[in-house]
Amino acid sequence: MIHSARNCAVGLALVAVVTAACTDPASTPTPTTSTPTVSVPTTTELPTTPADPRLASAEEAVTRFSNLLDVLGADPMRSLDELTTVSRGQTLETWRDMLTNQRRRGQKQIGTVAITLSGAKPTNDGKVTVDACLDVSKTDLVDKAGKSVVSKDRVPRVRYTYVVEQGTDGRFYVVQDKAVGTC
Amino acid sequence: MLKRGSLAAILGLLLGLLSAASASAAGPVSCTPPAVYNRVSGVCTVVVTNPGAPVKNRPKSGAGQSAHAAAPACVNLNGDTIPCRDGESWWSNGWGCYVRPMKPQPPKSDPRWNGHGDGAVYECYDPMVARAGGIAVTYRWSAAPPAGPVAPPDPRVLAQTAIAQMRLRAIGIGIVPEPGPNRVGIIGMPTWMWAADPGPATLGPITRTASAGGFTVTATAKADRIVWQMGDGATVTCRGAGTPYADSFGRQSSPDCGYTYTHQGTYTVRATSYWRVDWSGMGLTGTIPLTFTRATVITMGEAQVLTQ
Repeated sequence: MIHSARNCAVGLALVAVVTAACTDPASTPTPTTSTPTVSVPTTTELPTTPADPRLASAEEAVTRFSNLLDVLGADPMRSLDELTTVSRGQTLETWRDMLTNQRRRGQKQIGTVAITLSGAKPTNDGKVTVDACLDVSKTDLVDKAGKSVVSKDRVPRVRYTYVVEQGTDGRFYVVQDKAVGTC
Repeated sequence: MLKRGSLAAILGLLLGLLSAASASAAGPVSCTPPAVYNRVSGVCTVVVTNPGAPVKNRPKSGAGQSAHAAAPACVNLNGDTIPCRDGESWWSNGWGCYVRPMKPQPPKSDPRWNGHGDGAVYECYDPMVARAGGIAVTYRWSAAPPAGPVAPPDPRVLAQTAIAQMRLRAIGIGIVPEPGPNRVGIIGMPTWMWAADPGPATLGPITRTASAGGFTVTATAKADRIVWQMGDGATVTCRGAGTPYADSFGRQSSPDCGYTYTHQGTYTVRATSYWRVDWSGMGLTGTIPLTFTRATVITMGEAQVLTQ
């Protein structure tokens, strides 16, 4: 395999950090293109335990997916192929690219995201939507020098909506995930 | 491969990405597509799955290159020009890694197929991740070989080329009672069906190869079955060519492909041959189904016994 040394800062193009152009080999890549603003917190939904086993399985898939992102973000020696065991489609592509880009830059996650599920419901097309509140306040993302690259405006709790579908193999996969607000 | 003429398009793409990112800055936590929220860093990030070569670092035509014939550009995600090949692997600008089909391909139950049954799983080696000390190889499913300046041809396309050389066609219909004016079969009497022109082009097996760029795919086609729609709602499935009727058979039924009508009338009979084409090459295999149909019209009547 080719292991040629490159002076240019790693990983600027897949994630379009076009503002941090690769002109200065000594420059430090800046990871952000924008900082999301904080929306008004909504009422907290109480977690429930769905009686429908499909809904419960979908919630388990979301929890496994979230926990796996923590692991893969923290350990660059864990294979990103593990994502395929719990995600597919756009979610798989997005997070594989996102984590690959972090690894190109030598960034690592510290700490874990606390996930609180707040409900699952079936959709008309046979999938399941799962809502969850993610508490990221105990996590950090640091560069090779150990310096945090987290936005100073990061919200501590983010509400996510996931879409989960059951594969022909019987397993449940996260196929869509979207941050929809705060919680 | 990105051409010079697409410079404006690329610039537009990048501007679009910038605007998307900017738009997200004014919105809630949910980002404006294609920007995606990074839950840990807390920023909206535009993930580009097919960035091509960065505009500002696009390689220029160098010495010995024609100004009108831009050389294929293999560019990493920093904009550096890199070798387009690494052993059997080729560089994919879209994926940002050296790719090659996984050998052998994993079983279809492997999650790396991403739920697909077609295409192939490719090994993706990312030198930038390797330099950063991470696992540099991932495995990704793709319907076709990931594009790149020196990417091999799509084996499915080569397979189709091989199939075109076979000149496959529907069977010529052999049937008794025979079609045509003044030809009337008798209900209750056996109808015989067969392929009037059995051969490689109508039933197989037939094998052809197609090559491009030093790559070869071999395809073998064989008719699996012929389904006869008898025109009265009945279907008869026959394996093989069937047996041509001869007068010596008299009122016998066909040993392998026959039918008996119970009502008089004019029937459109359709013979559909179902083919299976197995192809292999470039370390990959696949199957392509094909069908061919031919139709004819026969008339069935009722026998009348006249007595005096």
